[in-house]
Amino acid sequence: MTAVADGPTDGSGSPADNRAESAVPRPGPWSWIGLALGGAIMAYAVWGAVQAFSTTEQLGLARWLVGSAIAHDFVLAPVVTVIGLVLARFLPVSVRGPVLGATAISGIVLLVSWPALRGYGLRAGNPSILPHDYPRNAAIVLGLVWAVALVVVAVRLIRVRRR
Amino acid sequence: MKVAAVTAPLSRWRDDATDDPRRDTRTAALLGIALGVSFGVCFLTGVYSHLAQNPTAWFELPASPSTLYQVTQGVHVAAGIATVPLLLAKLWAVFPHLFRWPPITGIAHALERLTLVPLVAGSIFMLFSGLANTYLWYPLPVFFPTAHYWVAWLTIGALVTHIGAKLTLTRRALTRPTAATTPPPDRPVTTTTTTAAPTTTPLVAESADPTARRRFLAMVGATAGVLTVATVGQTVYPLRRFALLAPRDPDVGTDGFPVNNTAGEAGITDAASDPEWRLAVTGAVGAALSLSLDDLRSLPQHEATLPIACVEGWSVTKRWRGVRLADVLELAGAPPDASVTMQSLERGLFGTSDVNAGQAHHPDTLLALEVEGQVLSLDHGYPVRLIAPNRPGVMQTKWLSTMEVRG
Repeated sequence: MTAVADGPTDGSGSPADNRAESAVPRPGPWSWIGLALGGAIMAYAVWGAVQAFSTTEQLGLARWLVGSAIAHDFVLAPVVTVIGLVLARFLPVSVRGPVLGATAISGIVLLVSWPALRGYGLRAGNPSILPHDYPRNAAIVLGLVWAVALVVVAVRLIRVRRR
Repeated sequence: MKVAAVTAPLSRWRDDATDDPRRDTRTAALLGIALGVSFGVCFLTGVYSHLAQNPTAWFELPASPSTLYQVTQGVHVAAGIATVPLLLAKLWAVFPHLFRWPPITGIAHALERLTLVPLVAGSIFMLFSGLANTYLWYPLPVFFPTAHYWVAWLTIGALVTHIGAKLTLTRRALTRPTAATTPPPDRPVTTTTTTAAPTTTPLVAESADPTARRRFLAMVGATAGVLTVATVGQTVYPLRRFALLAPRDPDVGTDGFPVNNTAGEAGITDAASDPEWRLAVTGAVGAALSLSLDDLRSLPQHEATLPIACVEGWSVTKRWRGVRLADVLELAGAPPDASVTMQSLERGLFGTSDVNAGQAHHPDTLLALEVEGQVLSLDHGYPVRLIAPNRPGVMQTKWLSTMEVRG
């Protein structure tokens, strides 16, 4: 992802075969079977949602659905890509893997526990909701993750030095 | 030319990224299979919960095994949480293809890419809304269970389409050894697609490392593992000490276990504490009854060890004590195949629940007066609540006021 290609990049001659789904295979029978079956299921879903919700609710739901995809494709994914490129460029090879991995785990743990950290869903008079000290607990979990990453880095550096 | 100045670095990034073994077809295929399994598990356990809460003519919730609802919903939430890193990894791996050029190559390809919209949007929506529900957090402008249910069908439909479109590619990516870059004999090499000879200079640093994919997938698995260990103790009791990030602790709450809806929130405190409170047994009965708390206490008492299991992902098993529902039905002269609608003092959406004939006559189905040797607290349903085997927590109706018997 980092080292910019100075190899052969003549456009047509890229190693496309091992590249994820880059070569579009001709649609086989399974494509059409999947389209028919999946299309029917999706039509059932749309029918169900139309039956279940008022027009205002349908619009609200549609907005949330489209928003989900946009939030990922145009916010989360570009931000993660840039962070990944920056970290990969400035980190020495020996620490790159563990640091990238620990960063990714930390990000996802924070993402999943975000409502707990922010106290979303808390209700006065019901102490059984979010009973823990979540900032402290998240710090413990991330501390363990980074401790493992540090151990991996240390082991690598020792191995490199011995060679 | 100005366009090229923008698109050239983008297409170079895209080409570099897609030559990365962490983003190639094999990685996408492996993550896709894992996601297919986890989405399948979530879908089946979710539909089961839907049927349990919305009884239909052809599905009657069985009374045994008593832990079926607890286990299926524990698996549903745990699988959903573990799916978060799988989905993010998969989207990260295939993200460069969003910028592929040309964007479409034919009708089939256009349709396939079009179904990625409901697939990606639906997948993210399902994980987000489900996770929010585990926190009892409801930011959506629609009723959560209904939206979660119908978008599940949308997502599964899009997934079926996607599996059909990618089946051949996936099979090819998994049967071929990792290192091999030669095309299979059944696939003709076109003039525009030359194959990468093993001697080709790697375009990216990582692609030189054959273990990059394995380490990437190990990291995805590790993330799923960390999230699971940090939350699953909310339903797997022996692991509760590790559940640092779970929204509930099975040992914390009134009477020592969680409450979803308190007496104060339900607004029934006065009615439930009233000494004039009676449980009315009406409907298809020989003799309508009006039972006081003392009446219930004077009937034969039985014990049952049953779980309270909620769709939010927490559950806890307790020792309950009270009157068998079947005994009360017999006392009222109800027919042997009677089913019952339980009405709570609480009005509204979750104020009633149906108990089918099989569950109503199960010896463990109790009108519970006590839990763990203590009189029920108001928060847990005083003066009397229903507790029955294999039932969603929301249907273990609290603060009972009326039993409507149906023959």
